[in-house]
Amino acid sequence: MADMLNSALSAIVTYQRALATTSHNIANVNTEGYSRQTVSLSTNTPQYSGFGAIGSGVGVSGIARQFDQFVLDQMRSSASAYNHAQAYTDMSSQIDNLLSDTTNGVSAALTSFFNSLQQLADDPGSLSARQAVLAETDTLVSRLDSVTAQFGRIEQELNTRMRSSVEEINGLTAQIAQLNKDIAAARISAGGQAPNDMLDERDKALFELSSYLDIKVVSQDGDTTNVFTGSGDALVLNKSNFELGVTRNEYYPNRLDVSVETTAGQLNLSERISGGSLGGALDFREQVMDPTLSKLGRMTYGLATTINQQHAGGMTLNGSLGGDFFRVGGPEVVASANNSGGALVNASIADTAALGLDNYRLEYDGSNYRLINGTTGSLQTMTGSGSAADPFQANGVSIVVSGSAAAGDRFLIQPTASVSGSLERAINSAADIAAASATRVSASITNSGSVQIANVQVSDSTDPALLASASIQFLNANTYQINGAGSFAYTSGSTISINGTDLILQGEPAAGDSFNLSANSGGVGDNRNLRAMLGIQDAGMFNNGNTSVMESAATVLGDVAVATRSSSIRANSQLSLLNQNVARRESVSGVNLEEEAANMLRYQQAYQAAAQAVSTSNTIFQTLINAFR
Amino acid sequence: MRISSSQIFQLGLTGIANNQAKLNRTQQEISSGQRLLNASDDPVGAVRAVGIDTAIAKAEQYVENGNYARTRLSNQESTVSSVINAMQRVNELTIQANNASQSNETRAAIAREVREQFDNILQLANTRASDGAYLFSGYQEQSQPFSFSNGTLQYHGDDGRRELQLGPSRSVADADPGSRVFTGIRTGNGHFTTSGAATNTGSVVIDSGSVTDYGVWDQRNYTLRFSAADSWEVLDDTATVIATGSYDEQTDISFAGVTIAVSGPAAAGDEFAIAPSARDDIFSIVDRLAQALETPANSGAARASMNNALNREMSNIAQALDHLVEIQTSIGTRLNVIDQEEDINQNVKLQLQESLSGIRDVDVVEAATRFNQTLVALQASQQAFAKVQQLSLFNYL
Repeated sequence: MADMLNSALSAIVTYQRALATTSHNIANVNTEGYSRQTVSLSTNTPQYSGFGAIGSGVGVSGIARQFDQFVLDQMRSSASAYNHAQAYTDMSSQIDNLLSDTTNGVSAALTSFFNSLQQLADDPGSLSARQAVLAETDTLVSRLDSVTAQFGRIEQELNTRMRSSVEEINGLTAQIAQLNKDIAAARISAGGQAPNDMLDERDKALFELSSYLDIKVVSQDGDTTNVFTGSGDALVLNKSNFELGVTRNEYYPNRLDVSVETTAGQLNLSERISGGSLGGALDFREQVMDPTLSKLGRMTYGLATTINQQHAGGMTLNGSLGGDFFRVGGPEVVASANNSGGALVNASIADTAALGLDNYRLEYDGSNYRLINGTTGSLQTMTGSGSAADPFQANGVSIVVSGSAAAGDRFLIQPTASVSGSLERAINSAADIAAASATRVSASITNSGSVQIANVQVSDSTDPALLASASIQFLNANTYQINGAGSFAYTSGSTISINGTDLILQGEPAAGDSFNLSANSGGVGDNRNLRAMLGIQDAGMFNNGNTSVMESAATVLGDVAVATRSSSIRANSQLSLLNQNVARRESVSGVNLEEEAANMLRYQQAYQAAAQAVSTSNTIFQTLINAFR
Repeated sequence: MRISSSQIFQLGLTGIANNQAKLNRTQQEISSGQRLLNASDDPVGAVRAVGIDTAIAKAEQYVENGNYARTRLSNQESTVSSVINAMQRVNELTIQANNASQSNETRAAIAREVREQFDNILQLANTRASDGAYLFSGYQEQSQPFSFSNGTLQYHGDDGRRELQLGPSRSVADADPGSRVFTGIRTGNGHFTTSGAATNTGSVVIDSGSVTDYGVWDQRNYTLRFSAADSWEVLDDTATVIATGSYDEQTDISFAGVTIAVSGPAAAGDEFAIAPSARDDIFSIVDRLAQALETPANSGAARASMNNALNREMSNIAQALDHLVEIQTSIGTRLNVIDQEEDINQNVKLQLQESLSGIRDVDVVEAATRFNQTLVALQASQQAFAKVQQLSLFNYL
């Protein structure tokens, strides 16, 4: 009977434990990261007697959490990939939205700008058409400005994101380090039994960490988990964590980098983080933001400088030369904050057609300068010596170095990255639009020969005598004089250049025929210069003359759209992968209430049976006592 | 496969959320009428659409340019045809005046009408468009192109012709400058002019002549001189006699590839100059004509001189009319070009709009069907969620 009571009591205690575990499972059905726990039962050590072993009941041999390490690893890696793509898409689609607007996008603004010039060409004297050109110019400038400003806001957002991510990451790594410590201690105090809930908590922290950046998790003697970044920099080693920091970029005070303190000093991790939302944001900055700004800037620079050049050779309504139509910035050179020498570097654009989209680093090794492509990291060939008279020349950029640099000094050269926001309208009033050509040529109305003016255009708007009058008199059919002097052979159709104006006469002159070249003052109805400016819209300007301004604006949109679309597709596919992995984890570790209900019934019944056994044992004992009364 | 309770909940919720997102997207497509809401929906299509947008805007602008050019050219054309009418009237008056029955007085009356026509033509040449710009002053729209005083024409415009773009590689000049329309007219018969010396005493009337042999005509100055009343000689510009003949009113005089008809009694020493055509302007021609008509012709020699002057100006007027008709034709050709280009641009625009619609616009029928399908799916997933959530073993305990 004592045996019976003991066995029944062991069952009662055991099933109480089992019911407690079931109840724990039910309680945590909605707890994130919780792994269901199962109780394993085993028989107690029997009592051996002469006739055999008498069973002495049941006991709990262990409470195990159900999990699959492989699935957890998969979940972390797909969370990294998903969050990377999602952060990338979030930022990229902001630009995509801005550029996609078919009525307000950059391309639409460019088209409207050129159309307003075309409209003015119909009636160059019309002040209202001139005002329309000014208005469209302002729209174009403000579109470029707002796109650039949007990039600035995204850069700010990125910085904020980076700061908060780094804080979260530090919190999580500290938690993991603490859990490493607690788990080891708990296991010792529990006599080697696993502290299930703490292990769940650590797995959850690791999963959360993986959504910020890609991590490698290495388990060390069962209890301790070491965490490294994807490229091998330690985040958690045993019971201590390494805090990440946010540092200012070497070149830009407005740009932040992620760094980690190592024994060798601060290590910049920005290039080394490749997954998670932090990696996605950093990759967006490098793959979408910088190239798009460069491309937009290159388009802006090319447009502004060619329009300016043409405009300068025209004449305004007031009879003065056109001058600049736009004001536009140029390449930006930033010295590294770590430079110790006193060298000054200036860069300018020498050839728009050869200009690429990359940024460059100019590095001084103590004796020579080297130019390195910031995107590919490859060494660029430079010609020239870097002096003002003979600047370094590479990929359409000309670089002048003055002062002396110290070995290891570095300069970042961005040919066009900061140009798009710098565009301004330079002309002040509607009358300042140089619609007319600066000069005109008129035939004398008494000319008797058949010679006619075929073409007149300004070839050198900087010629100091451009606006001076000049006359061409024909001495005979084959010879002419300029301003009554000299004797020049005439060929029909050949170019005659006088004071920066190129003029082509065709036909047969008679002796005494004359032509007058003069400033085009009063040429209100002239649209020649506008027509030349309109030619810029579709003229090949970049990539060795293969890409026009319009095409360049369209590819800015296209590139951002492709980047947004591919990252959004990647985000979708990574999300379904992540969901699959979550489903697999849930399938192993998730709590199913039906199952718990069934278990509860099972354990309850066993408990009731054991209680009955106690009661029976009591009855037997009473029967025995009564027999002796 | 084992499914956890929270996953059942999550799956139901995700299904509903996905259907809601799809429904929202379809609704946006239908309400905006566009399939491409963002460039990233179809990057290639978006870039093409940008190009097509630009091309459509250009085609529209080309049509507008054509309208501008058409207005101005029509304006010029009607002005030029008024000038032609005036010149034809002047021509008729000259023929009328060139009749022997006219007296000094009747000729003076004709001269007054010629003067009126002159003023009319000058006014036409200084026509302004509705916006105040002069039609015939080239680029210098704001300055009056022509003024005429003391027998001299002043042109204050220039030779500028404004080209308007009608297509990617097609442009037309929207006007011709006055210097092209009213000046540069070849004098005489277009090759040479004939004129009698003021000192002539005979009554020889000379016509404007014609070139009979272009291979021989060398565009030099010649002098036809009557050495006696019945014989003539022709001297070249080096005073060398190159032809001689006896004068007979019935026989034309030919030399150096040209033939001239002369009539009337000659006097010894009468001289006529044959000079290569120069260029003249309409105003000077009409002005000289009026002067000739205003000069009284009382003697035979004076009448002959007047007849010669009238003959000369009549051939000038014929040249001027040819010149004006040529201008009119070129304006007409340009108006045709504008119409053709407008047709082309409208067609291009239509085609571009079709392709743009193919890229960007939503197929409303398809979208509406999709909307309904998604709606049904959303309702189904909501119902399924609610049903599944009711199921629990605990309900039976």
